[in-house]
Amino acid sequence: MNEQQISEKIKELLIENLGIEAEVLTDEIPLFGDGIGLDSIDSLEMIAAIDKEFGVSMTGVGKEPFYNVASLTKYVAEHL
Amino acid sequence: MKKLLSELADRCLGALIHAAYFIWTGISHVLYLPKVTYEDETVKDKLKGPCILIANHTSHSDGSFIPQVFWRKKINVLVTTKWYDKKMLHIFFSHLRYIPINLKEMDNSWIEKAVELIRKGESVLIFPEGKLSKDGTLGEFHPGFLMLARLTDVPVIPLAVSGGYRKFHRQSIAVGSVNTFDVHAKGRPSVVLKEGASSCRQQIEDMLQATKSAG
Repeated sequence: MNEQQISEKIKELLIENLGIEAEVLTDEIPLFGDGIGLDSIDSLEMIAAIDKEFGVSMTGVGKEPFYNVASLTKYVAEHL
Repeated sequence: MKKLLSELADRCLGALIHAAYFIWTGISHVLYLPKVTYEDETVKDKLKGPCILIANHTSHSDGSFIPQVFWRKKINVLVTTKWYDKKMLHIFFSHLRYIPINLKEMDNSWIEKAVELIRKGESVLIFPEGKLSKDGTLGEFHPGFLMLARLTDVPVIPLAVSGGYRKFHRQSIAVGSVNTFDVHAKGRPSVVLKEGASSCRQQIEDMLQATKSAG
């Protein structure tokens, strides 16, 4: 699975599990705070979905990989 | 050898702290004469198993008093790292049933720990306001406890603590009915569960009013 495919899959997971609108979900938009507006509770849903889909555990990692879709993709690609 | 000695010293310290806590539990019962009332008697059965207890928070004593009142249950209390990491307090917190949570970071380690303990049959006490309310007014509830309920499927039981902690005056705890909010409702957890947290807040608010009216 290349980075492009991982990125698309992550977007699908975020749209499906967190109800984010597809049009606003770019690779660069911050997922938390002023961007999409997710909070730490949502990150748990994200962690569970990524673990289920890719078998990559993000439990206990810092907040940097959760910054945006690009950083999530990079983390997943490095830990696949 | 050094490691072994250090482990032994830590175990001895732990045993001492547990003994002191046990004595303190007895003293608390004498000083604050706890009175527990139940809105719904069937909750007593739910309290026998693992559950998530949520309560209003008007005193630092709440975090020790509630587990002391329900001393037969293994209750783990969520405490902010602001207190957990203080040098002297850390020794006590780390040897007793307390789970640290860093409210300033995206800290999810507490929920993993809490899930693990609930699966072992223990319970977790959370103050959903995340801070003390000095004037007794209930603040906004953070929905983390409902995420924990979603992950564990254990009942969420609200407690209304009268507070004050005047020595030799009855300190009452009202135990409410199990909250019925559907924690598995579809949608973004931070939005959906916030609605649930708000309903739990209202439940405790009503219990506090009822306690006041009853005198």
